[in-house]
Amino acid sequence: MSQRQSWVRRYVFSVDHKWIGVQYGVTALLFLLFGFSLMILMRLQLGWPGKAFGVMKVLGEARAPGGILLPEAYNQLGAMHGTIMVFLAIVPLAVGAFGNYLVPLQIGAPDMAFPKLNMASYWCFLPGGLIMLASFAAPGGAANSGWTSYPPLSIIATEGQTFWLVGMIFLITSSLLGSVNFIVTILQLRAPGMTFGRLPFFVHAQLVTSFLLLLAFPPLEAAGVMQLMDRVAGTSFFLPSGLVISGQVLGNAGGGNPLLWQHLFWFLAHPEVYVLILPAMGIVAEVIANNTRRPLWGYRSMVGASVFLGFMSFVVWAHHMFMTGMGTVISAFFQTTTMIISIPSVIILTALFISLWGSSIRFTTPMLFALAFLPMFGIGGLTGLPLGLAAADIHLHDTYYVIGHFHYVVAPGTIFAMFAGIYYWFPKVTGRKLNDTLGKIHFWGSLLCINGIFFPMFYQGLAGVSRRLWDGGMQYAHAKGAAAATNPFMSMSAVGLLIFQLPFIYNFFASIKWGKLVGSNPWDATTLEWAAATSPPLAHGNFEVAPVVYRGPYEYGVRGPSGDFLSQNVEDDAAPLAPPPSDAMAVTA
Amino acid sequence: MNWMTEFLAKMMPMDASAHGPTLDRLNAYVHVLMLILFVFWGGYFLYVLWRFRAKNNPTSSYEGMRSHWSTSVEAGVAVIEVVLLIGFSIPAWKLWTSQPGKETNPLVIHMVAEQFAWNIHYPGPDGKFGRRDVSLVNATNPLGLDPSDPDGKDDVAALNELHVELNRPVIVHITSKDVIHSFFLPVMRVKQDAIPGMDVPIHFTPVKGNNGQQWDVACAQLCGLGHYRMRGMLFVDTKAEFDDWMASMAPVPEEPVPTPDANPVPEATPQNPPATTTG
Amino acid sequence: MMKTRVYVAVCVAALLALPVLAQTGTIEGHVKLTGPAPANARIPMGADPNCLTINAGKRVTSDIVLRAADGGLANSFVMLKANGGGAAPAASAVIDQRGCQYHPRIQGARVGQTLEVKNSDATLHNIHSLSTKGNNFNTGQPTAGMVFKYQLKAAETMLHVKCDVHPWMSGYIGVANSGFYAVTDNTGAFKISGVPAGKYQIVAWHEAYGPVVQNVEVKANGSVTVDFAYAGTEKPNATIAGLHVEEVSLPMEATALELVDATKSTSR
Repeated sequence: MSQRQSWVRRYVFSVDHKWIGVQYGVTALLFLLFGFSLMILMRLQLGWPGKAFGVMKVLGEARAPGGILLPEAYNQLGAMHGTIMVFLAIVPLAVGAFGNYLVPLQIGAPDMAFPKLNMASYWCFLPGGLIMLASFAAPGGAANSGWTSYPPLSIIATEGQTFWLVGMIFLITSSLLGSVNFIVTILQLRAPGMTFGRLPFFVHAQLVTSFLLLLAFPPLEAAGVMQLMDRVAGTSFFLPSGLVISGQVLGNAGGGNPLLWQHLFWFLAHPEVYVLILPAMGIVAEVIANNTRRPLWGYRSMVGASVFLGFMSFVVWAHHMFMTGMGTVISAFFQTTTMIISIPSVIILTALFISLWGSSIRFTTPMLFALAFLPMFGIGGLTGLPLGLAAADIHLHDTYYVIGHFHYVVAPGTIFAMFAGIYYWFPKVTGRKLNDTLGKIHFWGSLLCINGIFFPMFYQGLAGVSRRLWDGGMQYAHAKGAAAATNPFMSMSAVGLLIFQLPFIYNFFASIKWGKLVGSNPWDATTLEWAAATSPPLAHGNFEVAPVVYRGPYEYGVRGPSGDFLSQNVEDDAAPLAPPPSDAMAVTA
Repeated sequence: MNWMTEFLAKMMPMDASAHGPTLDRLNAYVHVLMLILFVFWGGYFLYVLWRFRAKNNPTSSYEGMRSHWSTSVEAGVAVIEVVLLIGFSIPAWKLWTSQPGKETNPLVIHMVAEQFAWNIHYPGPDGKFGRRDVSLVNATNPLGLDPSDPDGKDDVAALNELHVELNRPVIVHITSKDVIHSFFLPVMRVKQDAIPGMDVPIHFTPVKGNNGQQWDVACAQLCGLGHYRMRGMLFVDTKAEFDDWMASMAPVPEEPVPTPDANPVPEATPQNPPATTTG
Repeated sequence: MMKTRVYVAVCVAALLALPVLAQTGTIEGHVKLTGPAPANARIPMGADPNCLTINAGKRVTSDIVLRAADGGLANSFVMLKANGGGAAPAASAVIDQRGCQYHPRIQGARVGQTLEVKNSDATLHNIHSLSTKGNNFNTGQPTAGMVFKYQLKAAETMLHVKCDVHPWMSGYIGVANSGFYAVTDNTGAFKISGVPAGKYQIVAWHEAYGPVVQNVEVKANGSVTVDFAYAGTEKPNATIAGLHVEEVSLPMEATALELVDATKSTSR
């Protein structure tokens, strides 16, 4: 345990879940920034279609002659923005970074069940991500058929699509390795006394997420290999006969079906969106419990709802395919399951809302982000309703209404939860706090600008502005009014959002060096990572003394030895519920 | 709920189809539910943030909310969703997928999407579609119509211009030659993916004429670099206008005309390149 | 004395140059369509309102077959099968997208020459090469004034380009290994000069009728006439590799896959 490891073993091929979590975190944040930059370029084009921008020249003459973004390059930006944000940024951050770092700590384990597998998972993720980025240098540029890669378009597309498929195979493998690890760790390595009913909600969320990844990704990996074969080996899994590409008959074997790809893709991609949201809800739950100084309301309902959500997520996928020529019976089935799946989401959100009742809210920076998550995710979830009803979806499918819907869930939803997590757990990882003032500037600016970008999208969608249009809809009579009225404003909001990330980026790096030093539990929290481990935790084994768990995860609002809370590993008897004298209950934000 | 229908209508394209009001009404009802939930939860949220902030309420209550009215709200939401589903959406979808019968004299059209244009195939007066063959596709015959097929003699092939008749049901068989496109008529509340290898019939009945307005056919599925420009034009004509238009479209493809001087001598134009290159 | 030396130098130079000058000849002739010309299809400019505006509502036809009264067939590409030789090409071969048509419809160019594609229309044109020899490009030009440059990589008769936004737009570039090519004018006449004496194969190609090959012997300092005739019943099937390929099977080899490659974009 104490033998000296080489620098490479310690920092590159580390098997310590905490360092792997940091690797995932830093890599994912860099990818997040890159994906964000692609979006800024897209928004410049959408706000002022066809205008020459100096910054566009960074894409090169082939993609942006004289700084004017070409339509094929816009499609590259769109496909890669989506892919990078989902697979290279959010999932690695939510699961690979937060999950990896916190799950063993929160269950009282010294590490993950399979540390080497953990390392392998990161080292599949990084090459996969780099292959994806390298696709920009391929002849013809990066993948440009949407993150959804529908054939036949993706099969006749340029070489970047091959890079995309190979990258996906690496990324999916990484997730599969990781998910097995999480499941075994949570099932097998919980500390004594840590029953399922005492697990922090974050851990429950990660457990369901891991099952989703494990069961839903394999069909997409298979489909990715099939599409790769269609592209390079002359097969026709997804190509029907009689295709005429640009006036020439494609003499392929034929007999395939483009819809097969859609089914296989969405069979993953729908559970994938729950992979995006569940860890976020987990983070929000932790931050809210801590900053309301009372237990989560409806903890059992939340856990039950997460499990139910996990099951249901496997039977809703074809609501992404309502317009493919679906008959009444199948459409009715998927509409029904989609309506049913809205219930557990509402249960979780309701429980979090009601947790605020009777609380004592500390508006710390992580709490601001966690609170904002609630109405933002609410808007995202509510706007899913007309999309889930097939007849209403006829008008809204593939319009900006959809883009507004899912961005509300992921951007002011999941990403705000990620920020909440970063502000909350930064002290645990580094032993220093992030600066509060910069944090609040980051929060308010981001909240304002992000709504400025995405709220007008619902108006655009209702007006019939379709997705993935190089000029944002200016060619169409029904769309150009809404487009012209909103696109420049939305693009300026996007630039504003970029500006408000700068205080965060500065804060992140500066605080590692100069942030205010804190002890092991600066937030007065009850869960094991705060209560039983130092900041940062011990490199080997996490805990000086293996913890034993005596109670549930959110015993706030009680009289405890250190204040108004009782940590999970504290043996003292439960204190009376009567509130103590007020000065002993003073809480610092 | 008319206020919501009208509010949404201000943002949406006008509706000129027979089935449009049914879909728009469902959309409005859903948005009413969304608004109620948002206002209710939003109001509650702002209230609790104010009432239970630490300065106001330094001691939290361990038990928190005791009543379970939220369960009733959940149940209520579920019931409303069931009503929307069974009372409105599923029947509307059934209406959308059922084709009008022959007795309504529908206008049947085949629409073949390609990168990046809409090829529209009309059967002509005989009501029969001529054979199409992919091996006959070329620059002037994008549909690949077979000139030797007698049924195709009176067929009309239009490019990007979709003419239909006022108050006459239209059935459009939608497919694609190359990649997935999507046939989107905003003013008719019509959308259907054009998938190569599949033929999906959709139907609608136009109940309003253009009146000079530009009505577009938009592509609603990413199909390549020209996707943003894959625009067609929809014209809802009176019967007379429609018949005139059909008559004005030359039947395709043309057989060679057996006259010696079919073409006059082409004029010299700047784009006609010089006949020699110097050695 | 000086004057004499200059005089001698000039004579020597002239004597040395004489063999070179003396060894080239000229090929000229006509391409004719003996049968009647088919009607050229009307272009549905209404498919794109921008094109309709640009053409000011005129009725425009696809000028595939342009036949003079005496049968002279314009827009035929004529080429000597030669490896190298001939004058260096001009800086660029230009194809202009104007009035929603390619101008010129048919032209010749040399391997290594730059093809310059201009968009003179205020509408999106998507120039897409359907090459089986590696001259692949597929790019959009959304605004007027854009110029796309592509260096032609390999000999190809003929390199077919089309616009994916306007299906009627179709053009051909004969990419030759030498400078010995021409396109017939409106009378069907062509002339290729400066051809070194010798025996050659000469091919004429028309987009509606395909290729015709003949043998020709060029005499030094002389002019030889070669005439081509189409009956009007020929079909433009591929008999010379790379011409108007209609169907290609897709085994695992690269050759057939190039057809798929033709839809992929490479810019250089």
